[in-house]
Amino acid sequence: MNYFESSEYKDAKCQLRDEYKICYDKIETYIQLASIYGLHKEACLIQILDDFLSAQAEGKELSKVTGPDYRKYCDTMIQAERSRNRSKYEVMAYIAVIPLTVMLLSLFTSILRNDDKLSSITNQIIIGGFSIAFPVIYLIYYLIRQKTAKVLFNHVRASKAVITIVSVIFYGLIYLISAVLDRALNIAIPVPFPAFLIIIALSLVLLTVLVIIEKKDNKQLRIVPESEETAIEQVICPACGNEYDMDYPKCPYCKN
Amino acid sequence: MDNAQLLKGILEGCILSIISGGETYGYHILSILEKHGFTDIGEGTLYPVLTRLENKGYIICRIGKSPFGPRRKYYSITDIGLKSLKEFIISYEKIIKISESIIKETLGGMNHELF
Repeated sequence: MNYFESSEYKDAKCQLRDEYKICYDKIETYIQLASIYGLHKEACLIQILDDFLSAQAEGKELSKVTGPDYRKYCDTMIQAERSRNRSKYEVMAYIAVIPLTVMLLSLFTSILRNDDKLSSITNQIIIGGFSIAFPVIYLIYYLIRQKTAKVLFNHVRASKAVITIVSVIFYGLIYLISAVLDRALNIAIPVPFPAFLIIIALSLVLLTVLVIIEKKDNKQLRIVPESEETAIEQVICPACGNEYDMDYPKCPYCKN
Repeated sequence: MDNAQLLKGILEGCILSIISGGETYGYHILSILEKHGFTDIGEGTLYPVLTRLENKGYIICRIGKSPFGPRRKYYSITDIGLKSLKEFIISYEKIIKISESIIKETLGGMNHELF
């Protein structure tokens, strides 16, 4: 299950009050909507939520944790989290994905155009304007999402509304726009079918190798129980009876 | 003089030193830094340093529970991190000694007119 849908996450979020709640809502919306490539959203947000809850329990001002500019703070956290997960093989992944996407789109359009002439497809695949326009439009959509989330950082509702509209337009019209561009660009690069198969096979092999390497070098965070050796000593709050880490200045439950 | 440049390496060493004391988490590190006078350091400064240390293999991170209910990232030092911390302490002490000696000798003859 998505962690953001869990009661654990929702209950924790409900504990935030006033400026902490307002700021966290902005940050969460920004991170969720901007769909930043290579960002492990959960790892980033749990760090921010934990900091906010801890600071709030101590009665600390929010700006002491974030600094005066919330968006700058948020971008720094995102950047740091991305650098933790950044793959050494990112460029190689692009080298594999881009030709694979273009080839599959070309195959798709060739099938659509030659539905009664299978022999012509097995002879050669035509890379047309559609196969090039589609990924470019997708990239533009991705950049618009990021820019909107950035510009409307302080306006959660407006940000959600604009990005929803942009997404509906994008998914509704991408095929149509690509088809129009296909005609306008009038590109037709023939690729012999054996070459097409070789490119697809090489891309898939490269992607498989990268997935195996990445799994070996996996930095995704997993829930690991605390070892007794490193456990922070617990104390029992005399007022509410809850247990908490002894390094807390106050009980995080009843604030005594 | 740019304090940020001066602080960069020292902060990494200080954070590594805090983590060497036992498994800990971001906000706790921030509180210790603040208690000792690094009052301008927020989470936006600390977190990039933590990820940098993790990328270098000096610390490792795991996710555990926090007393508030949600998940929390806990950091602990690795053997490479301990080695790096020892090297940092040696370099730091050497630099402090040299800097103090230069400042004492040069400012000593100037009757502290810079102040």
